[in-house]
Amino acid sequence: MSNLKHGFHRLDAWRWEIPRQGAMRVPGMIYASEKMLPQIASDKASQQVANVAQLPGIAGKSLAMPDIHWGYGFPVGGVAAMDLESGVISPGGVGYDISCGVRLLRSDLQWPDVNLSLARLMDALFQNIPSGVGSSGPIHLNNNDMRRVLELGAPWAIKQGYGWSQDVDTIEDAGFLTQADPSLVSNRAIERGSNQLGTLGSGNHFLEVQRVDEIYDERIAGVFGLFQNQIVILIHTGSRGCGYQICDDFLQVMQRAGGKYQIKLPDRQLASVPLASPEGKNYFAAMCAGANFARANRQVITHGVRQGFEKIFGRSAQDLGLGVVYDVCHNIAKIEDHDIGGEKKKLCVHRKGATRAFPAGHPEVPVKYRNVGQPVIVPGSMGTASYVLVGTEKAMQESYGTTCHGAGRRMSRTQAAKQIEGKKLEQDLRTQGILVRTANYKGLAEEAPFAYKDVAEVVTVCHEAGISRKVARLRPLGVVKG
Amino acid sequence: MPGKFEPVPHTSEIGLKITAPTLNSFFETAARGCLSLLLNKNDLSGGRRARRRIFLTAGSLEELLVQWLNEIVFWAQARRFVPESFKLQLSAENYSLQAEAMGRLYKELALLREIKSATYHDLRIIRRSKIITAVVVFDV
Repeated sequence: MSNLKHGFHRLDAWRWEIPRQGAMRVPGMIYASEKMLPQIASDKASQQVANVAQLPGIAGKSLAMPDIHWGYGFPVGGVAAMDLESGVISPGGVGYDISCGVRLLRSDLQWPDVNLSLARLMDALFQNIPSGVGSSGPIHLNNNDMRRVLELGAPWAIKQGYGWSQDVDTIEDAGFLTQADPSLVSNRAIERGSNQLGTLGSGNHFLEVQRVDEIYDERIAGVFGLFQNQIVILIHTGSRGCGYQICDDFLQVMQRAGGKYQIKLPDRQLASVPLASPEGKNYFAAMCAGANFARANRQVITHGVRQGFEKIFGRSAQDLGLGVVYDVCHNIAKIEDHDIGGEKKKLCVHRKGATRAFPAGHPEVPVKYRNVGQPVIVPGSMGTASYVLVGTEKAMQESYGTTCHGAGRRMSRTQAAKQIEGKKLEQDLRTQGILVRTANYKGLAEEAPFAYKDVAEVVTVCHEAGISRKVARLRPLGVVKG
Repeated sequence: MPGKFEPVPHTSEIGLKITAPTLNSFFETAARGCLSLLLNKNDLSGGRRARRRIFLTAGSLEELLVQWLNEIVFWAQARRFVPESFKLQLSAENYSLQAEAMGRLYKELALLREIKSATYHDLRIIRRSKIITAVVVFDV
């Protein structure tokens, strides 16, 4: 029986290899079920995995998660680890939305507590948290304040009164990357972000009130502070215009510098420079600054969520138990220690539409979770479930401590908007018991659930492949959509 | 023959195919295509007349195009300036663009979508004798 399916070499039921050929320095590997392969093969995503495999200094394999789809340069769902001395850094391996990520808040409330108040709660959240195209918030930062945000991230926001000191205990990197250098961020990036702190933005960004409807691992769920029927809140957003501009600025730098380093690329969007070069170091430091903006952004939104709950339930957010379960991003390049052939090495791991998933015992896992592993939050599409997973040792061994990030698109925005109108979609979701708040019905249609892959299948692949394990499933009750 | 633009399918982003007879017209058509993704002209009202000038240089025509389109995005999204007409001077030899855009400045602007950036994805400006084409993918 042939091991070749749709051009991929079967390693096992969940791992499919793209054999090394041509200019590829290493093989590629996609985590997927056999059922997913036709769709993966039909767009250029697998070619992009092969393209990434051509980058100088790539360690191991060029990887992709089961939510893989065609991006630009790197596929969305792409993961590549680079040797610090011989490897390159590529803004395309991070994405324009630097440190786009998710934050999950818990509460002590259960579904019966919010049932009758849900509509008013969604109104309050829609009012408190600016969303939508080009959304700007009530916080307008001058140049100096912006640079402080870029330097200090979530802790800056907490110090200004937008949160609790213990929030940083369960945010990736304690809420900020120390390698950030705001002086490398352009004035245009500063301008684009200066009135966007505390805003959701649009596209696939959202805020959801959810109910924990299934627990797969009682012990780990308990450690994460989750229980059956609990009300939780999921926030998905990133670095807004500031991050987009940082990426754009450095893509221009790299377009010009690539020739200097004689890096031949199959795709211009894979523009890269050596990590150890001045341009590489500068991009990394500016990217960290953009990441800090994203963490501060989700922190300010958290404050808006807490205020919304306080208004509706007449109790303090503390009393309601509105703590941070975890905040983790899925568009970033991080310097991390990984085992390569029995030797511990520092690598630069690019995750573009892929989530870090560190195991129990890892020093970067929050102390309160260190016995069980790092929470991984995987948002579904509107109307479908989201998932909480936990990181595993298998992920560290095989995927640089990485797992999937979401459902992944399977249909273009134009096609989705042709198939359904926003108002009809809102109505359909309401029939399912999901309340939507949005000012952009065209954008809502583009985000229709049928435009996305089945997140349950994506999560199952990761679970079965062992690169993360299911802990809980979350069902949406209300959505604020940009 | 005037330039034209049309949408091109892409799973997660939005593509535009641009076609025009001359380079100047190509860059102007690309700008209009980008604006069509950002806003509906029929939704605009009020605004005061304004003018913007920019000089761009790049290492290639493709790079110049991306810079130009990102300038359009920045004007509309960050500064609420919507160009209506253009005077462009392009040099294909040294990849430079001198542009003057006449349009309107709005206190508020209702946008159809947010564009993060025009991208370099698969971007090739193909120049034949009487026609110039390219497909530009925008990250949204």
